[in-house]
Amino acid sequence: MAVLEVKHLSIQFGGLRAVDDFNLEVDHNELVGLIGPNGAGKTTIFNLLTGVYLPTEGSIHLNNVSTVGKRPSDIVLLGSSRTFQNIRLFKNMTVQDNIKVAYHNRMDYNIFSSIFKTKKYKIEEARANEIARELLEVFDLLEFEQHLAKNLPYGKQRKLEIARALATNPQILLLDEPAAGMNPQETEELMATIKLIKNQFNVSILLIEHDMKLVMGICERIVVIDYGKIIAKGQPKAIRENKNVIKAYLGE
Amino acid sequence: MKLKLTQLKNTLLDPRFINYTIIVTIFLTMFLLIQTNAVNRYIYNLLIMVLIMIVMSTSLNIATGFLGELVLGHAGFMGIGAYTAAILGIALRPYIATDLLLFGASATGAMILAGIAGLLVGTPALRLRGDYLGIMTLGFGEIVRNLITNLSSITNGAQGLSGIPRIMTFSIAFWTTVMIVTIIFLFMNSRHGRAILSIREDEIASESVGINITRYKLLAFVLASMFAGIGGAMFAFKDGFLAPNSFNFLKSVEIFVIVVLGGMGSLSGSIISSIVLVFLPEYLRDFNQYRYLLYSSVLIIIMLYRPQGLMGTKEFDFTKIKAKLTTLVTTIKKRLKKGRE
Amino acid sequence: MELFIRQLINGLNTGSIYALVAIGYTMVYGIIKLINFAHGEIMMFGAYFAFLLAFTLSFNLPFLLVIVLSMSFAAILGVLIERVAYKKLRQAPRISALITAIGMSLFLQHLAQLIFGSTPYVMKPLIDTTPVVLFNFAIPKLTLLTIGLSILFMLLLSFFVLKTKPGKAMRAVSQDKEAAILMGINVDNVISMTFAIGSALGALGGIFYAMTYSQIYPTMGVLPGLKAFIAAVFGGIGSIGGAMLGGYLIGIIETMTKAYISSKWVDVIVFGLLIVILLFKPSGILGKNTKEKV
Repeated sequence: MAVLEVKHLSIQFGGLRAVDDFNLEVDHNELVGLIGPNGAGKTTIFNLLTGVYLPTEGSIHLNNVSTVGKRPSDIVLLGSSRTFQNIRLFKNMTVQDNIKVAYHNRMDYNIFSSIFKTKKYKIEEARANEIARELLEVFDLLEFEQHLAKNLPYGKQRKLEIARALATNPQILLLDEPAAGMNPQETEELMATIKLIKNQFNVSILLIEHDMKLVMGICERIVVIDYGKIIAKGQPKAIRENKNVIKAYLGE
Repeated sequence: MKLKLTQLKNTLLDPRFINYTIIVTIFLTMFLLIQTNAVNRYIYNLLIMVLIMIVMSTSLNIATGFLGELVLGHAGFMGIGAYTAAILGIALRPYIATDLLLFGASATGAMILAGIAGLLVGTPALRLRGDYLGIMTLGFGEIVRNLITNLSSITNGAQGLSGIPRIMTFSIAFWTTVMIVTIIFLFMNSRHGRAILSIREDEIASESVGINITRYKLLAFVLASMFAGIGGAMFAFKDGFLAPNSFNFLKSVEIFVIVVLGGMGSLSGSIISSIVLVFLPEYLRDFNQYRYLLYSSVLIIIMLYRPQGLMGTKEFDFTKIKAKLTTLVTTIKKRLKKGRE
Repeated sequence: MELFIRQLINGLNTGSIYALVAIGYTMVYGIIKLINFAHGEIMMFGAYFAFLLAFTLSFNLPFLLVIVLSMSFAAILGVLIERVAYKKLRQAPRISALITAIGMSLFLQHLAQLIFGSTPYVMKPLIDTTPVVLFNFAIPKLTLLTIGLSILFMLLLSFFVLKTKPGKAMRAVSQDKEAAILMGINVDNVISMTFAIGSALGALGGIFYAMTYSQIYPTMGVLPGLKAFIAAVFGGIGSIGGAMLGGYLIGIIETMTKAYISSKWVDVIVFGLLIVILLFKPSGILGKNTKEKV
């Protein structure tokens, strides 16, 4: 069964059709790459999927529920979660609190519980701390638990952003250029982390990336777009040899 | 027996216990000073003013410090609270003999009305960002002041409303303030408070992890206005007299300066700077004509050289003083040792 | 009908003043995205300058020279404020710059209070006030001059911004500061120039305001400053044409309210209007919508 089902998705900005008839299905626990030259419309697709933009046409279904017209925060509740091209952390909050914010909707106590510090408040907070600790452990960030997010080195900030996205308990994770700005060694490490996430958290992953090595190395299926249109889709090997793709990247 | 002793020791060293003890000690000291007439009427009034400003600044801190929105009309909510409480207080005086109960009832009314005003202004206003929100709240504050002046059948207009029972004692003011600051502190340390902080840090990221930013912005804004309403109620019962001009733009700026000086996002910062900014100008009486010149220079200098304010986003913690003192003592001991060697 | 036309003329008079002041807000906002709260105080200082030049010197300066000199002093003050308080904060969060602007506004108010005292000075009109009869209406010369000079200066400004090289540089900086730097434009100079022009026009507005209401006092800039700001938002902040349009509209709405409703409700209506504009079209009449990029 498809976790994410996108049909005939299009968006028009003035005279520009930034995304044109985009179709995609992502299955449970599948890792799909979305690639294309600069300005092809990849991030726009992410913004459509997460509810930042409203599509001009087409449908998006998350677990058979339509997300079109819903607020970004409600779409998260339906089971999708994302990271950003230019890292967006809660910089002046601790690493632990970054995770706990994302865990917000899975906690169950109201304002009065927090003011009176009820038992429920204490139990829920303790559980949140525990979950945060487990997540940070997986990402090797536990020792930075009480550090401010802005003080982490770049690679770790990327990891924290992914961990935060996972804390919302998504069924599909949308990663927007996770390897941007990383050196080859960090990229290598990131590939391992992504594989680990897929297996350990049992999620589907949709990934935008420029680093071909990373995309070819871990994606099971790749969709290539150019000028907002799909120009190729298939297994990494087939994509590598696809004429349209080569043309799009290298020009005529 | 031994078990009981360790238990006792643990309770005594519990941070919360220490904080409670210190609050009670402060209260008892002040109370004794007042009872023994060591504190004159003038200082007594100033003390209550400090407490009112603490309520005003910590509440504004929810919207400006923690949520990160510019609110330039906090005095408007204070005005709504003050007039509501005053009118209720005058009307209820014949039925409620106890001062505390009278204050409780009037302050509750003030809080509710100010909260409703906050909801009415906040719902549309929070769609705007940054400076626009600031301007809109400024406009709101001016409208409130004009309404108070113009609706003279209810408020007695520009002449001011008098005959309000003067029931604001130090004890009532103190414990109201402690209660409000504690509630704000606990609230900010909950999942709701974290959601609000995350909006300040990055709205888009906050939404992307499932925080309903509209709801939490509104929650912060309404809470801030509710507590401002209580601050207004305290103010109304202090002098027994209210005039619309007590709630003008300058008042909003004064509260704002306290928050900025103390550090946006620090409750203890707001408390400290409330004390400083209420007492300092009073003690520099001859200096009074320079008062606002001082305020404004402080504001500019802080923004230029220490934009995070005195405390930044940190909180002052009594329990940490002990740890700090210990480190201080050890370093001094080491230095001495070195000196001897 | 006669009352209506009379009020319309009054509205144009007040509107000219708001338009002049609104231009300063909108230009500064266009260039550095800052609401210069101290602009109302520059207006006030402009009026004081004119008062000092006209009434305290032992010799009589011609009216036009008084105006030009006061405008120049105000321009210097504006540039000084930018250099001292705002320049350092260009990269800082916008809220810091805005707080500084509020601080600057208060500072200048109380500085004026310290220098001139809080009792108002009486500002006599600097020109003779005999009414001129125009289409059967007796219109005070001052009103005609206010409207006429304001329009003249606005035309000059439009010419400057649209047709001259520094004007082009100014528009370039407001579009994209980084790109402007790359094109070899000295952004610091452009910003100073913007403050100078905005302050000079604000001072002109202040002088007319003082003459219309024949009073000068340290807080006189607050209310017209706020209203001029509302005018700038109404017209579309960042747009010079919008500021002029907004200024006249606010001026007319205000005088009409005074004439047909009641003068006590003027402020409520104008501030209410601000809230309505912000809610339904925050970009104003001539402004453009912008959305944050993800």
